[in-house]
Amino acid sequence: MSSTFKSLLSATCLMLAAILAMPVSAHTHLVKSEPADGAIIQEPLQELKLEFAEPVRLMRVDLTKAEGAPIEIDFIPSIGPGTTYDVAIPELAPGDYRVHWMLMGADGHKVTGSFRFSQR
Amino acid sequence: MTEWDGLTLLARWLIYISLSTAVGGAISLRFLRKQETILARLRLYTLVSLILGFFASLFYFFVRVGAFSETGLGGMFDPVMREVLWQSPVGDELLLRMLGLIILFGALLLTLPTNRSGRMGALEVLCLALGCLTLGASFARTGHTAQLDFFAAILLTLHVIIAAWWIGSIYPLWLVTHRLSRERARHVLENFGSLAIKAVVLLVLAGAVLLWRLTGGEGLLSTPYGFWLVCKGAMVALILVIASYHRYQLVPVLADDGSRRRLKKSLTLEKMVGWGIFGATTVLSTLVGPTH
Repeated sequence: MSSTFKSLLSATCLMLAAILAMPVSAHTHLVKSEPADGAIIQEPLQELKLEFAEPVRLMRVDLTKAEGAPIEIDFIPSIGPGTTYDVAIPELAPGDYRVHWMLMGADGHKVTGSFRFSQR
Repeated sequence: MTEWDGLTLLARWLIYISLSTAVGGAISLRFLRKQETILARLRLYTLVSLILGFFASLFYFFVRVGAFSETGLGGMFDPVMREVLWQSPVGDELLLRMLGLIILFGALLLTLPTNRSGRMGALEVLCLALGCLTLGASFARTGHTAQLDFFAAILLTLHVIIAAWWIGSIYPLWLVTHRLSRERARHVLENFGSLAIKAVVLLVLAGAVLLWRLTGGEGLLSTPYGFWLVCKGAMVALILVIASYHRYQLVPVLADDGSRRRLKKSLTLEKMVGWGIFGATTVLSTLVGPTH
């Protein structure tokens, strides 16, 4: 058996072993938020809670009123990864709001998303 | 696609090209160390590639800072975002790339002395191995495979190093065809061909396993990711045909100026297809993702 054939055979066996392993899932996503998407809140809201499927770096959170006016929030991007984030917000006037978030996944990719809620 | 996506694609494509030419140039300097007539050109090729790789890597990092900052071009230098990205896999990737380029620069410097000892040759090989591994490993820090296990990181590193060596060696082979005598050129090209066959088998197998691990075979014909995979696969098939044409048709009859011209033209085409493969890989690793 030639050395070339041996090395190719070894490589093939190695690859076949790897093929048996399970594939992975795609990019992470928001699994839960408080308030939830579409929620109508009666109590005054003090913070937003975001929970992701796996550790991520939350890079940006924007809160805007339905008319488009941005609400200033004191958010600093996270250096280390985490799955849950609490973002303090100022007292909100009644109305419809939209939260837009941006994160960096474990793969370094940018992922964005948004959800809406209403304050009564 | 946003402007930042476009800049990210461009920067990543430049990284693929410059790092492949740096790896191909540095390894060719070792394999072709006795071919005095082309050494100066090979050193220049490697040096220019290393410099391009340095700037392309920096450019990519700042483009990513800008993309996350979302505050216009000035956002590329946003200090908070820069610090966050530096502490993230994107920063690790940049650090590994810089380290790999510096080590390959060390290997390049070791080729300069005219009377080299055996120890210097061994040190050059060590630098080559370390530099290539570091550059290859940098690609495993980010991208879809970063979510996989250590074995996938090894496979990706192997895949990247072989692909970089192959595509980056095309210009050195062009020089061999252009500058060396017929006998010497044929000898070098035949040796490269023998080595390339084994390397390409590993390259394709590693790529196939990674593809399976990422997608589980799903969505290959119905998603944008699948579309770009098919594009990449078609170009890989084309480059394999071109490489086989060189090995079995052109190199054995390398004799007169006409056959050299045909081989040089074909090598140029092979390089273009290689850069096309890098283009498809850039889209796959940047814009689209597996849906599995």
